[in-house]
Amino acid sequence: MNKGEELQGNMHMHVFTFKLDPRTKIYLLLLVNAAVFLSPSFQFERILMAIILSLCFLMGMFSFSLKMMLGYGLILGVHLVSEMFLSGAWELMFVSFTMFIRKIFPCVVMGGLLVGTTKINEFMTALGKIRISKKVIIPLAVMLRYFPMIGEDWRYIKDAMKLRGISPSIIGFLKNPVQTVECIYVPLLMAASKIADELSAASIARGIENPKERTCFQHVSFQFSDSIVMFIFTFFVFGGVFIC
Amino acid sequence: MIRRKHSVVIFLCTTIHYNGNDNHYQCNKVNIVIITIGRKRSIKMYSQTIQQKTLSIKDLITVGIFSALFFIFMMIGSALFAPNPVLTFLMPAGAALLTGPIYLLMIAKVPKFGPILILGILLAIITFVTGMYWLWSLACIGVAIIGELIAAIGKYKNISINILSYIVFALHPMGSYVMLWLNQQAYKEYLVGQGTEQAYMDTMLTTAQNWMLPTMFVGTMLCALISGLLGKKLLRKQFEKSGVLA
Amino acid sequence: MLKIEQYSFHYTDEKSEGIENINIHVKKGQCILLCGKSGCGKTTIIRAINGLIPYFYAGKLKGQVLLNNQPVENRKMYELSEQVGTVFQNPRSQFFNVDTDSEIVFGMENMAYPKEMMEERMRQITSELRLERLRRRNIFHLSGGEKQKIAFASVYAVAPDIFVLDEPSSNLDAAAIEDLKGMIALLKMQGKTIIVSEHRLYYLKELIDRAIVLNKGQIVSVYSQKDFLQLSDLQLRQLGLRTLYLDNVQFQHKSLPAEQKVHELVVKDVTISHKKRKVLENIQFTAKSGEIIAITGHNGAGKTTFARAICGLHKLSSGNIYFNKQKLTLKKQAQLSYMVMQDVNYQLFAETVEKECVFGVKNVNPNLVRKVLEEMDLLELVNRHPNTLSGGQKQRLAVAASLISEKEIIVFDEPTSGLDFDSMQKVSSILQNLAEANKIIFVITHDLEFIASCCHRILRFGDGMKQDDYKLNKENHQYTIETFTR
Repeated sequence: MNKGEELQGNMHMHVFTFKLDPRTKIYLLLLVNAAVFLSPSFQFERILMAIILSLCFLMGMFSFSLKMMLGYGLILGVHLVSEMFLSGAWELMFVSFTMFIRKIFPCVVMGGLLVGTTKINEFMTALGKIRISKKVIIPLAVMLRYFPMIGEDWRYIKDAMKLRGISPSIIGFLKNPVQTVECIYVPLLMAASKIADELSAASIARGIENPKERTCFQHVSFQFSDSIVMFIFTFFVFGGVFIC
Repeated sequence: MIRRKHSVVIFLCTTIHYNGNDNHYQCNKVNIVIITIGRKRSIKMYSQTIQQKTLSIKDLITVGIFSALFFIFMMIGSALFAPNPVLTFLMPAGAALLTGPIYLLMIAKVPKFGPILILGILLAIITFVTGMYWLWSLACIGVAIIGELIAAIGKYKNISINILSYIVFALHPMGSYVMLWLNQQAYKEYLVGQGTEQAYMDTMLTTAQNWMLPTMFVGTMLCALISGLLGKKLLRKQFEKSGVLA
Repeated sequence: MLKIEQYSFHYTDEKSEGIENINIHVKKGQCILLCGKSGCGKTTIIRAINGLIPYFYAGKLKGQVLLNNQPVENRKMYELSEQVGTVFQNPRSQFFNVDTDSEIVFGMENMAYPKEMMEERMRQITSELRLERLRRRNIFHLSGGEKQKIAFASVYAVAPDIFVLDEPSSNLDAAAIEDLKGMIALLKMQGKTIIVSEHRLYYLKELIDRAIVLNKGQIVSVYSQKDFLQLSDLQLRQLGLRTLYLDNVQFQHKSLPAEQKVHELVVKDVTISHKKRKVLENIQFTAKSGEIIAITGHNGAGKTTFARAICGLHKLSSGNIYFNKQKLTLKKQAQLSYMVMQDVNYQLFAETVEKECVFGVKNVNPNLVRKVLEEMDLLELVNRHPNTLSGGQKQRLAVAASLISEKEIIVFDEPTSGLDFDSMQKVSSILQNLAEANKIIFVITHDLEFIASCCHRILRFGDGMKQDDYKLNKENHQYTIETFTR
């Protein structure tokens, strides 16, 4: 739940946020990638960032938008400073780096928007509707749901390592490389194998192999707002490439 | 009870695939029904399941879980280098350094066509959705296809060929950095516009191109090799004896 | 409704025990209990009923399982799942989704229920199972009991005729077990057929119609509810079963070893926080060598956090811990203490039992290693890979490692969860031997019989404080029982 939805839920206040179909967001992301590739000028990029950030605000991701704005400003700042005060190889390196980041920044913000406003379940259904094979959707779902568990597993392993006198840090690695490496990989991979087995059994017993097309509890369908947003972005990207 | 005069062995295959290449029939499930005569008037049924060549749900879930581990280790490996403007070109090497054992164990658990490709596609989706440049996503799928074909040469069981497959796969972050070399023209114009001397900048860019790109490639492949060898050692030492590969 | 006829099954990899000649008839609406010693084949029967055998687990099979007079064997798993719903032992590894709503509807989505039907059903089960507080939440933030509820709701949503529950009370505290009891009672009222495999029997006594006792893969006896409840504790133990009446638990009052106080652990003014929230405040107590101290309290009271703090794995917000009058740093604590975790797999790193014992140890004493392995009954297994050992053997291996590292404080986290009576006694004697070797032992546990068997003292946490701290004796054992059934 992003901040916008939370606010709406808690305060019963009509904070204006709206939802977009995940497929729309995927399309927007593709557009932004194309825009970055075709980018004719710095001005174009700035306006692109402005539009994306406005969309973020409208969709309720307030703190995210602010952070991204600050980040963008920071990158531009570092760029200017590198140009002014550095020279030669250093300048080249720094300037290249900041330019690189600046270029992909719109993509990152758009990506953040997608990840922050889409529930995993919605995303899966959207992918299904684009007819992506179940052979990709199931591993993707499992992957996304296993990430937090890796964190939990790692905490247990760290504890166990400390109790055995092996420090889970770079210093520990330097003192005792073989053991540290074994400590990190072995339990994680063993636990992963075990969970793969158990999860498979449980999923099969709950009918995951049903050949009928899965329905979705979450609402995933195109609405008017989707069309508007898609139109605005498309218009801007292709128009802007010629104008700016 | 059915009584027969002779003992009859009947093979019932629930599904039969004709595997054109190897010229043999392959059954998903074999039910062997032995009907015996005389004294034992019972029907005995023994059922054994034979591994299929297509990906089962268990395989898919295994791929998902190992992909998660792969991604996390990749992130950790590259996190040290990526944000640093000077060291950023070491990122692909860092990413390759930690993920070898995971890759190899995944193939060992699912020695069929598919896991590497799916891993590549999943990485492509994640890199795309988090806003990394699309060339990286494309590269993920590209190296996955090549990696899959390489591993298939050894029928997924030859560890050295699998390591080779991993070395190729580990080159996927290069897709992201290639972007720096793509927009060369605009980049040059911009720098000249900023007042950098033309000749100086030309030499800088060419040297960068001459040593940076190959260094990244070689460095990444070297780290992938190290990681692959580590994976081989772990497989031999621990995983093969632990019953995890069953 | 469900008939298992002359069923035998043996796994190809022989990791688990097979079953021989099982004959069970279950009528609609009955609640059947499967129980017996560890490894008796309960789980195998459950897998036979829900079809995972032979689909998922390979092996040699004889006989058949008939569901409504149709054999289970060749049915498609997804068709079967509409009629047989399984709630597995470990909720953590059966969840496919990250949020509760998606998990609850997972089964329905697989079966392609139309959206309106799913919404209606969701409304229905939210009220029937009282899930209001659990809707729209992140599964990883739920407690063990709440996870169990969601797993249950997910199966309930599809409304199968048969419910199969595999050790559902495994990680639950007293309150959650009451909830579980309520859910099973609800199922009975709706006329569902229920098959439960369990070690902890006391909460099921009013619900079961029949109890089937197994041993080594064969049926030993079948009891009606009336007869089962009349079994004496001694008879139950012989069958390998745990008690039916918590009130009857016998406490063994071991006196503490004579005052040769070797070590002393003092916890003074300790406050522990977790994620900016105070979990435990102002804790004081003293522990001496040879004491076996039970740490109890409802789930979420801070038992594990406390244990981790003792082992130096969790920083104290305030206060100090002293060992033999010396203030301890986190590092020193980790050197002195060891924790045998609930899932021992995270602690085993090496490729053979022998190497595991000396992992991380600086000066290895081979005689000590042999002696400890012999004590722990692991000597024949020296060259086996730790992952191939049974659960109990892994536990003993972890203990062996702690002894060889010469740790003084050992903490056990739920060591008897899911163990039958004999295995529980074995763990109990290991703890007693450790105590005699002058170690300070802490045990986090919900197992009343286990506490009764070996613990000297009880430390109960709740509401952010230490609620009880007393030595067990004849006068207070009734009080102890009450705190467990409350």
